Amino acid sequence: MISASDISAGLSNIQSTDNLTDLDALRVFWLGKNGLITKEFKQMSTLSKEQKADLAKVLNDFKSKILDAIAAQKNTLLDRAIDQELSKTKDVSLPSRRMHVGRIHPITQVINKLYHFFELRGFTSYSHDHNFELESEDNNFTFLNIPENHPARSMQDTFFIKDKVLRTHVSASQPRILKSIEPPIKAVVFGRVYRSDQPDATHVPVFHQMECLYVDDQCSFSHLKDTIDAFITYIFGKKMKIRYRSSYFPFTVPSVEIDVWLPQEKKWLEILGAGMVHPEVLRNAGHDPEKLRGFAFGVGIERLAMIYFGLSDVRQLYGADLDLLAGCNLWQ
Amino acid sequence: MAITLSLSWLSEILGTDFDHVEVADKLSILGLEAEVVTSTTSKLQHVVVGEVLKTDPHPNADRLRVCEVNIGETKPLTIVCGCPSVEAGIKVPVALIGAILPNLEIKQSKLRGIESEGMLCTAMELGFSTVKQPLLRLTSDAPVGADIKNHLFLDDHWITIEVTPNRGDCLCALGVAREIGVVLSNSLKVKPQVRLPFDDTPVSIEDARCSHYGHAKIKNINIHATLPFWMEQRLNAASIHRVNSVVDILNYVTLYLGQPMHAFDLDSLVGDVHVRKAKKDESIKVLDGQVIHLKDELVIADQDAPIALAGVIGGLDSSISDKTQNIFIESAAFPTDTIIDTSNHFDISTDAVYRYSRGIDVEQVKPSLSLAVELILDICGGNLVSSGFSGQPYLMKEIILNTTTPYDVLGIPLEKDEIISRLNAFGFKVTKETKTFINVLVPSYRNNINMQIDLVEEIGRNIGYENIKSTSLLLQPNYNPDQVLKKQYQISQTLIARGYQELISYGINSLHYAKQFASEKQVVRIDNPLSEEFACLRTSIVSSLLLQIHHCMNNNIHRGQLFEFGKSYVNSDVEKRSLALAVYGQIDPQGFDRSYHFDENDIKGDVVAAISNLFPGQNISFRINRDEVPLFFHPGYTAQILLNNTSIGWLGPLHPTLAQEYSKNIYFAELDFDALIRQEVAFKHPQPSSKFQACTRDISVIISDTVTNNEIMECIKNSSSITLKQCYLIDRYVNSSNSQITNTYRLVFQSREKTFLDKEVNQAIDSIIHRLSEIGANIKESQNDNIN
Repeated sequence: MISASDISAGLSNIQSTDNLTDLDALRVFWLGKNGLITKEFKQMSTLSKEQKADLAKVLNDFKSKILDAIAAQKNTLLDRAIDQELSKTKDVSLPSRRMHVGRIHPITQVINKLYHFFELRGFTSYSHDHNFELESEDNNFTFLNIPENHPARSMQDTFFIKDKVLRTHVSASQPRILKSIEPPIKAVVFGRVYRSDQPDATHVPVFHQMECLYVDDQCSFSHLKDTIDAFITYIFGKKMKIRYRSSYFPFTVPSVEIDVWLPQEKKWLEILGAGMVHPEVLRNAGHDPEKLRGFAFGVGIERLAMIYFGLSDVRQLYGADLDLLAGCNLWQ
Repeated sequence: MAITLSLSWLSEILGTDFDHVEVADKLSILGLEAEVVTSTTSKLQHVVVGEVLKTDPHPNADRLRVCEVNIGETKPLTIVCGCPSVEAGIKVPVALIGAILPNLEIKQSKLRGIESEGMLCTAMELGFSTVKQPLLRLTSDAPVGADIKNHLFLDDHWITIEVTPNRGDCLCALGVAREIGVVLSNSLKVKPQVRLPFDDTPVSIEDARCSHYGHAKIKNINIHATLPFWMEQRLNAASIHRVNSVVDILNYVTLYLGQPMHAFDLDSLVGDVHVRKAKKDESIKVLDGQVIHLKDELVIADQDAPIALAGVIGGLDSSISDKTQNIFIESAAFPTDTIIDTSNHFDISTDAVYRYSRGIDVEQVKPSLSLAVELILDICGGNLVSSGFSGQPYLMKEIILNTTTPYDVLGIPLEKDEIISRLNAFGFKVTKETKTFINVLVPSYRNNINMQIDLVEEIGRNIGYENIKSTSLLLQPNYNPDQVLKKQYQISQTLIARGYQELISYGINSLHYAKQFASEKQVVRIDNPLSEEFACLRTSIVSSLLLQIHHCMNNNIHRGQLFEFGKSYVNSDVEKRSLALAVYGQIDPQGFDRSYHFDENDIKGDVVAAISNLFPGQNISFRINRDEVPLFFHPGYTAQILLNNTSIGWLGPLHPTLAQEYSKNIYFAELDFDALIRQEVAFKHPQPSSKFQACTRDISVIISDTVTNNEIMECIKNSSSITLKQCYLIDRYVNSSNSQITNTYRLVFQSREKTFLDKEVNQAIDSIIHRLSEIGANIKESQNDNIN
């Protein structure tokens, strides 16, 4: 027969356990299949109804005391375990695994940024079609109103490959687009161009350009200005002081160059060339320049990248200075 | 080309001073990019007029003299001078202690034991002559002690102007002054005049390609005459190479009026000079020494032979030498095309070619000759024997302008009167007007104005593009994404997150290098390369990455994950867009486990991730294909990458020959980006995952090394009678004693409709095992234990 003092000894045993395994063993000791209390319950069948009731009362009381104590102790132990876990510490400054990240090249970042501008304005960017680095002389020069012997052909030192040239400007896509796309044309072209310049701080034999071409029956210099103003504001993220200088490109007339005022450097920086598509260029593509007009403008990608990232030497963009390249983040 | 002109000269032509910087800004806006530069001479400091009082021999040096020089102070200076031309009584520029000259600063110093208190200068030392000359002798009335800059009017500024090819008229002082005149609303004060009689028999023009020819003969000149300072300064500003007095004067006239000039040694000419077509088999030795064989070029000839290639270069035998006394001067007009053809054909470029090819002002042929004669008589002495001229009076070009065109093109309303006044500002004259048309005469110097639109540009220039208000284009969205840029962006996002850095290379290599990546026949060579280093286009982006890695390794960078997009060329008619990836070195050089190095499976995982990101749920597989593998890859270690069984690229280490030179531990992948763009993967809506229980089984097969993992996987996938959701290799054991390989695969069966019964799964496994045995993969043991 279990006495009240047995129970109080048991309770104190429960309260002094320091792990869940021991606690569970005590649960089995008292209340398992063959536990002390379970056994007493089993033996009750021989007793009279009144005895049964009395004993059941006592046993249920014991049982609930034991259960409560176990539950309480379980909570205590769990809390203690958490406290113990919390008291531990690790050297979290140890090296990590595979911590390298790369970055999209500064030139590509700039291209992506510019593309975004034109995409939202409904321009179609041609990277796959009408966009070739190895071009015919006709597309690079003749159709752009730069006939053979024209002094402008010597403006650009051209690499020749048999009967073709490495395009000296992405404008070489203009004749292709003008011939194959029905006006109105809203086109933008990004790509590599080549000039035979020895690499130095400001020259590389390969660089990137973007060109925008708009052709419609109603189109004027005034529209060009609006697009360029928006474009420059977009590039610099704020309204900039700009100036339009008259200039010369064989494939546009009137032609202008646009400078941006850099307040810190206190100087004008030439940023893009633009103009109304030359009537001869339209005529060469089979259009009637009396009925159709267009504008075009282009920008050097490297120049923008150098401004954005404060680079002083364009060759840095073509090397593998990984720290430098990884530090160029346009969206910072 | 840039031209640099003396600003005081331009002021003289315009008859007024002006704010240099402001004018330079306004010229820039007008299309002549201008910049004010300080002349080298204006930087001179502490150089004064001095009078040499006496000269004594230097006690310790034969070549030096010790001079006493009066500079207006109470005590004369002692100056040691090495120039033999020094003598008592002359006045010379004296650089005092602390003086700043273009190439040196004067400090107190001892010369062979004697303290020198300054330096006596030549014109070259002062920076206004490029010719080595004796001490610069000043006139006897030069005020002793005066600042040399004031005395010689050296305090000049220059203006440098970038002249675009259409504005040949601005390659001279007159042309630039004209444009400044527009800026200042000023007309020119000094205008070229014709003061020659032109009464001699003109040179006969026997070839219509020459339209105007003027000549003058002068005898008894002094070829050694010294140029006046002002002329010397103007030539210096323009960096004109000095030859002799006659040639220098002619160059000055060209710089002033834009007209190319030439002088022959009159004594070398036989009989009359005429302009004609060259005869076949004629030849001429030209100024640069080469002998040119002629066919039908335009030449200037005397009675016997050609004496000059018209407008291109003079003959050597008839050229002016330092013994010349009698001269024949030419001023003529030759057409642009003829000059360009001839100069291109013989590859000769001279200043005359440059000017003629941009078009000259026919109206300056006569005034230029007149000015040249006056200057030569003035400077070199001699007497004018005769002068003659042939050519028709110039007829101005006329363009009919529709008065609505300026509005259509520029987009701002313009009244007819405004159009006319703006054209007038640039020297155009309107001869006739109707309601909608005006007839415009183009000045002789504006060769670039040929059609209506050119006049519109002049009007725009005059208004200032700044002042044209902008009008919004009403743009409609037209969403048609650039597949190349979009896919490139998406792939890049995957790669950079996995540690890759994008690079961009020139893509132009040496032939030696290019040959290692393609057969020599396939390499595309540039006809006119920059250098041997930049002679061929890349045949593969891998070649670019390898070069970059080579540099990295040389710079002790021990790891790299790199990629580059770009075009490559195999045969000149194929332009291929590719993406290349490369990995090398330790994965985590700064981590605990530094022994772990990148291998082909790392780059393979990155390729799979990148492609899967682009085309989710598509089948990517790898196989050996020795017949087609690019020759720079190791053919036995390199996998052809297949997307839905279409080849899209290659992946593996370098060919042993390249590996020997660089490294065998670099792994590359090259993807055909055009093929990725072309890939038409039907867009399928994604499905939610199945809710029914999956059943997992492992099977092990024993194979020889001729059976690939890919074959087994394909076999398993194709033989299952129920839905096989996944199948992957979980273990691989190679028995080194008998080369037997044991591969263990985990198969996960899962249906969207129900939970598979054990029986169904067993049947599926049985048929898979049966098919595997047919391809030489025998089951090791059946592990029918259900993992779940």
